Amino acid sequence: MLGGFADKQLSPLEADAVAIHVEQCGRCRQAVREQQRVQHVLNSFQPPPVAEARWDQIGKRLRAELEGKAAPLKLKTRTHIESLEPTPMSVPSLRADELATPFQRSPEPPRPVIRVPSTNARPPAVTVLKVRSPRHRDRMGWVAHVVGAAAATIIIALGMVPVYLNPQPVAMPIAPVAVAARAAPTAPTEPIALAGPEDVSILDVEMTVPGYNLIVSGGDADDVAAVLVVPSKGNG
Amino acid sequence: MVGGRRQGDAADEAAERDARRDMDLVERLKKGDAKALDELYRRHREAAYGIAYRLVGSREDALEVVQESFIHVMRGIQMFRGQSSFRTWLYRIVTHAALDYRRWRALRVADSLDSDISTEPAVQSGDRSPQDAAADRDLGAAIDKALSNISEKNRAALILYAIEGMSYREVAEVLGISIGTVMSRIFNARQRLRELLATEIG
Repeated sequence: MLGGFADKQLSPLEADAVAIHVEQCGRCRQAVREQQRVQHVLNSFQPPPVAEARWDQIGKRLRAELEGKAAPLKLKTRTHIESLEPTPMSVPSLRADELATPFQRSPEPPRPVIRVPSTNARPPAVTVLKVRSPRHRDRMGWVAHVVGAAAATIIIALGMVPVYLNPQPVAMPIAPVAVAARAAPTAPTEPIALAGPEDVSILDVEMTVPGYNLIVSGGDADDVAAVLVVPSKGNG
Repeated sequence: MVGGRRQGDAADEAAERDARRDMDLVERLKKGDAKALDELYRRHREAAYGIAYRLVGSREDALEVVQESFIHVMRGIQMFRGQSSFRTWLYRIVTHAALDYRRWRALRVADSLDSDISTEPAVQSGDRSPQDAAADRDLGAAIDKALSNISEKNRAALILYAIEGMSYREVAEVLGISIGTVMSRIFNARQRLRELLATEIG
C-alpha cells in the first residue's frame, strides 16, 4: 500500500486511508519518502540512446521478413504468443467498510476492574491468586445477586425488630472488613464470615494478605456476597 | 484541481487515440501491410528498448530483444484478438522475450565459458559535459548493477512502471498478476534498490 501511495496509484478512498496513517506513523512516512527518492533516481536515469541507423537496420530486417525477402530469423527467445494476450482482470479492492477504520486494531474486551477494600486498616501487600473467567462470573452473578438480596432483606428485617420493640438508637457495625483486619493480629482461629460490606467491591477475587487469606466471592463490582478472613497455615 | 483533471482527461484522450491508431495498424498488419509494420515499430521501439535494456542490461542485447519481440508480433499477429491494447500485448511480449533471452544467455555463458560478452552499461553523453556524462555513467552502472541484484519478478514490475510509466493496472495486465502483487513487488524492488544504492542515493 505504501508503494502505491508513494506512486499516487491508489484510489481516492485508499489514498485517504493511507494518508491518515502515514501522517501519524513516522516509520511509514520515512518508507514513503525513500520510495519516492528511489523512484526519482530511476526516472532521471534513461537507457543509452540508440543511433537512428541502428533502428533503421532492425526496421529493414523486420520488413524483409514480412515481405518474404529474407529467410525467417532463427530466434533465441521462445515466447508463447497465444498465452500472452492479457484478458480483462477483475482486480479485488478494499471494501468501503474495510477502509472506514484503517489500521485500527480490533477493540480489546474490557478488563475486569479490581478494587481493593477501602478500609483504613487494609494490609499493604495484596497478592491476587486467581481471577475467575468472565463466563464463570456471568454464570455465578445472578446466583450471588439472589443470595445477596435475600440476605439483605433478612438483615434489614431483623434490624427493624428492635426498633419496633424499643425505639432507641442502635449502634450499627461499620466497615466489617476493617474490624476483621484489626482483629487479624490476634489470629482468629475460625473463619470470619462477613456478609455484604458496602465498602468492599472486589469481584470473585481470592487474595492473600500476609498471615491471612482474604477470600471474597460472589456478587458483582458493586456488591459482594461474602467475605471470609481465614488465618493462613503459617499463622495458625 | 480543475486544471489537473483537464490535464488527466487530455492524457486519457491521447492514450485512447493512440490505442485506436494502434488497432488500425494491427488490422492492416494482419493483411500483410508492411507500412503498418513500419509505423508500429516506430511508435513503440523506444519503449520496448527501455524495458528490454533494464532486463538484459546491455544495449546490443536489448536491441536484439526488440528485434525478436517485433518478429514475435509479426508471426503472431493473427492470434491477437484485441482483448487488451496492442501496447500492453507488445510489452508483455518484450518482457517475456527479455527474460527468456537472459536465460538463453546464461546457458550460453555456462556452456562455452565465453568471457567475451559485452557488459557495456554505456551511456552516450550527447551534448552534456564530460563531468555530467561521467556522473551519469557511474550512476547508470550502479543502477544496472543494483537492478541485476533484484529478483527477476520484482525487477520486471519495477521496470514496467518506472521506465515505461505504465500504471499499476497495466503492469498487472502485462505480467498477469494482481494489482496488489504489483504493488508489493514494486515496493520490495525499491526497498532493495535503496539498500544497494545507499552510497549513490545518499
